Amino acid sequence: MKLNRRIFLRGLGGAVVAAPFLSSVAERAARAQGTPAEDPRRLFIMFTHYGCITNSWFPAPSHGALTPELLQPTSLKSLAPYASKILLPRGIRAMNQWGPRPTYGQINDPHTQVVGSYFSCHPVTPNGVVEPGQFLPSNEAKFNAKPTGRTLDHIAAEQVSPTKTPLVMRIGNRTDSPQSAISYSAPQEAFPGVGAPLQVFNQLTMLFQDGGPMNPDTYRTARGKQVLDLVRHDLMSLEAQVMSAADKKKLSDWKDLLVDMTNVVRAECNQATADSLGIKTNTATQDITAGITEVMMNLGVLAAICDANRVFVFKFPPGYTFTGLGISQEHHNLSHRQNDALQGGGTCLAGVNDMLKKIDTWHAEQFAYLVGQLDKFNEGAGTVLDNSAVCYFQELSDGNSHNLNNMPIVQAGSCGGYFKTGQIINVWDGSADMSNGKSEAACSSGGTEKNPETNGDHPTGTDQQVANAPINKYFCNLLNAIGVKAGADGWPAENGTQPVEKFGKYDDTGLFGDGGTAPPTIKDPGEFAELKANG
Amino acid sequence: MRNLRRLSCLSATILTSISILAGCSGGLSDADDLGTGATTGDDGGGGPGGPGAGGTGAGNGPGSGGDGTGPDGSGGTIDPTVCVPGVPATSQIPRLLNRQYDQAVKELVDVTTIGGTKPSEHLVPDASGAIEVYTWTAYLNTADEIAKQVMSDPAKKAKFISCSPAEASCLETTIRTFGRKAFRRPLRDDEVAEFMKFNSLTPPPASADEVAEAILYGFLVSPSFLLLPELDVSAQENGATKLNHHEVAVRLASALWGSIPDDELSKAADDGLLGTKEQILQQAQRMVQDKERAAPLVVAFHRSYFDMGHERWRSQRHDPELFPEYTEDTRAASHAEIEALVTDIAFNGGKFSDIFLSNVGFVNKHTAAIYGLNPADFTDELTRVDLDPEQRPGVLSRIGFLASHAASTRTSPILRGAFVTSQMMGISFGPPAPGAEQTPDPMGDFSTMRELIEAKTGSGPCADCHGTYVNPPGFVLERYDAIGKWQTKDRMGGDINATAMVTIDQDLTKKEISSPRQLMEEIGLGQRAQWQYIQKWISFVYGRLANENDNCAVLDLGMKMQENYTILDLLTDLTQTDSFRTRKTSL
Repeated sequence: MKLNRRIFLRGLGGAVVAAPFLSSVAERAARAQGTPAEDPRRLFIMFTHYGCITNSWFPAPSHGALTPELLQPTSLKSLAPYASKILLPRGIRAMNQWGPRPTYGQINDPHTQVVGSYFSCHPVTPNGVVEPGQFLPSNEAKFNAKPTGRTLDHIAAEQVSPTKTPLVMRIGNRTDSPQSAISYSAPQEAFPGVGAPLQVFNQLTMLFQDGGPMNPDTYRTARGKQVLDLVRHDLMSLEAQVMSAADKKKLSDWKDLLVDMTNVVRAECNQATADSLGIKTNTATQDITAGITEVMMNLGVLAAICDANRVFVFKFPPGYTFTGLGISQEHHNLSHRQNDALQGGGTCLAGVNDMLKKIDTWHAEQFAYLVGQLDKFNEGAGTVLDNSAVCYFQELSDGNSHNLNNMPIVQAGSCGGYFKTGQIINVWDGSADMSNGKSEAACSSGGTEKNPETNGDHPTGTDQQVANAPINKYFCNLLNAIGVKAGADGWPAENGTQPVEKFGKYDDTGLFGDGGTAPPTIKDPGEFAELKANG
Repeated sequence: MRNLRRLSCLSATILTSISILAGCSGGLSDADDLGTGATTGDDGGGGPGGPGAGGTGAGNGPGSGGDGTGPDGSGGTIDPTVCVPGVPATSQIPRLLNRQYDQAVKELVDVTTIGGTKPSEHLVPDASGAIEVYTWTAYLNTADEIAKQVMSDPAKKAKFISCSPAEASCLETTIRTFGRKAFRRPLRDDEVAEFMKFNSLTPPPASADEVAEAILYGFLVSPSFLLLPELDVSAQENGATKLNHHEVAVRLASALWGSIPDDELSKAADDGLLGTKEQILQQAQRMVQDKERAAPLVVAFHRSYFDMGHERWRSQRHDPELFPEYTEDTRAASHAEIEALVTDIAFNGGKFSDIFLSNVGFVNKHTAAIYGLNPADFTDELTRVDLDPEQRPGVLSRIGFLASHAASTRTSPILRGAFVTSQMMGISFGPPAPGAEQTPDPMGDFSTMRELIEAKTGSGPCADCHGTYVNPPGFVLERYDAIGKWQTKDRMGGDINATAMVTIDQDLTKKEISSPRQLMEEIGLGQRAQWQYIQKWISFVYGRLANENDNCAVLDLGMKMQENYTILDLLTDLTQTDSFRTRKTSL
């Protein structure tokens, strides 16, 4: 596919403002990769809540070649056509698992601390403590705790996205609370992302090349430039006033945006592509099973084609009721194998595991759809998919036990040949017969399932002693694959030159238990070498 | 009683003893304690980052994200009885909330929709952090759409420019006049010159209208429009910085209208007539009576107060076999009823207690049957009717609240009771024990939901909180079934027993309550719920969470509320505090 190599400063009322020079981001990406700037590396993250029925989700074996046949009997069967482009990393543990005692993480809340720590690998604050005479942490700690570090998407986007900001899309347009938010632009600063298709589409239309090359010699172009000057003038006169450092930073960040809108624009970034993707901005945003998910994913695809971003998050809503799949019970209740009357007394629900498998399968189908769309567009020697790491993460392994070991993670795309594909790779112990967990217990027995210390007595979950390789290492893989650099200490740093060796505050889930008083400690630095094509 | 009694400050703690039960921390809370999880991004209540805290009985999953209090909320528990004098530090450059953006562009150029939806729906949800690229591009695109729409509609265009844009003098006049309104202050000459540059760009435009459109576009993306700057440091009062006249006008308009100043308020600012409490009061009294401008704010507040953006309100379903009367149309009508009711109360001299006691109903054919009325007598339109005062006292006796605080097949005394105690009374009792939400129903032969819940929560770690705080008001509300229909017999076969010992007011003592009306009287006339209501108003109109400094106002206004004091009196008096008129900077 022929690329349009002209590069514009855009974004002001649709005007093309300035002309041919390489954006610093694109240049750096080119240097970092040793590849031409027209093959950007991208990270896509899909995230769903409440885990899955693990033993019907994972294909067996836990290590070895991945064939379409292995996927057929699982919830991932929709990925079978792409088996050769799939990587299934096994044996990974996410950080900060809840327990009544701080053994595997904090004691704040079984959801709040998990989502907050998931992509930050930082503990959440305030730390949950139980005062004498009570048996629970405060509401603030339980429901409003936020991570002390920022998340993977922001760390990545700062270095590789033209806008320095990830495109975080909330499927279904629900606003997340700290009990479900996964994206933090700064410590304790939740990032809302966008929920309506129009909000994404607006940014992209500014990049569209309708009817051939834009003419820089129009009033509209000059107007765009003048608006930029006008806004900068206004910001500078505000900045000159006495105000707090935090307020000044808001103004200077805004000023930075005025020059950040540089993009490589390729010919396919146009209305015709948008039309071919079936993008409709007036699609109802309520029922995620009725088309809106596809629209949001296609907006991500279009944003990738336009190179409007290189880091994408598709965040599925919490507490969703899949009426569109013929399920009338809310998903979180189902994950605990109960009906929606739990807020007044739950009862065991017949057929609950089949409902959960149906949801698991539907989620995988959405992922497969995204993968398929990205694979339709050629880029360089392969497709957009081949130049990307497209990852599906889930909040929990088994949704009832809330275990974070043995995480169900699936990746598509080799990210320009960085990763092996067509394989299941057990990074925990390399064994082919590792447990797929047990999720088939049909009804919970009370309030003890989530207690990891009752290991062995669980109706569901995976033995805490296995499948414990830290997710931090996988995040290092992903960051290195898309060209993020680290400082001399190994942690990602904006002007770094080294490969990323460390991510987050701790990579030992036990260290989260004290709420973050221990100094940053990465016990097992580096990537998972076994996931790399050359590893 | 709206005259200027100085807001007295009781620096003592009125409430000295709160009974702390073993395992159940009863206390005071201003946080949204019920529910955890998601609100919609498109709720009219619209603020972000409100306390996502809470969770009494709600379980994981859906919950409260935004409550319209502004972007700086971060949860927290404060005791309204502890008054700490002072003015809290605030940002000097708060950004227009999305709901304020809608009102501002309506006020400026009469644009209310873009392509059929509110302008704010084209923006990114409110957030407290720095503006990032999606927020910024959304502002740019939305402004572009608005400018185009205005220039192609003669009536709207006339609100922006009333002379020929081909004349440079016309452009300059427009920049000064329109800019005065958009920036809420007179423009400086250097700013005027910056806008005039649109008239001398190369290449020139095809028509003079394009210049005018560019100027309007420029105003709508200017930081001085999108931010509400408070920068003047020239005057001090009691150790805080006094706002200047223009800054006070902006606070008044955002507090009372969720908008920008109208001409009269702007003139008062230009004339230097907003420097004293009395002058502010005079404007405030005028402004709250302007129903067209004030009503959207009153509605948005009460949506936030009742947590109507919560997932439960928008999506709790009911089994169509058991409850054929309840459809999606019922849900829409039941929400519209609450909005109509609070508007009716506020603008007809109603008081706080009327919110819980008024028997005025707004009914249509989709809700009539549930209220025991004949649907054939109604249309799609809401009709104002008098409902049975015993059965339908106030908002919490209506379909909207009752049907959303229930499960699909049965009532939920726990959800209803927790809402009353934590949200309305401000009694915080800690989250449910781990795993509590997953406790299955006990085995046994129960003839009422109450019996079932009592068996389920009557022992072990659940017993204290549920027995003291959560269940009792929920049991009183068992008079209503899962969709809000009055019932005397439980679906499970037994008679309803709606008498319970409810923990009701400031001393946390219990009182026997035997009917919904009696419960509503306790809420509507009780001091604890009044404090909670005032605190939430302060959060809403000041665009931040209420804190200990605000408690002095809470206590004083709470005393006024004991007298004949209307909701609009309260709104007016919120402009009379020190922290309304002065500010502090955090450095």
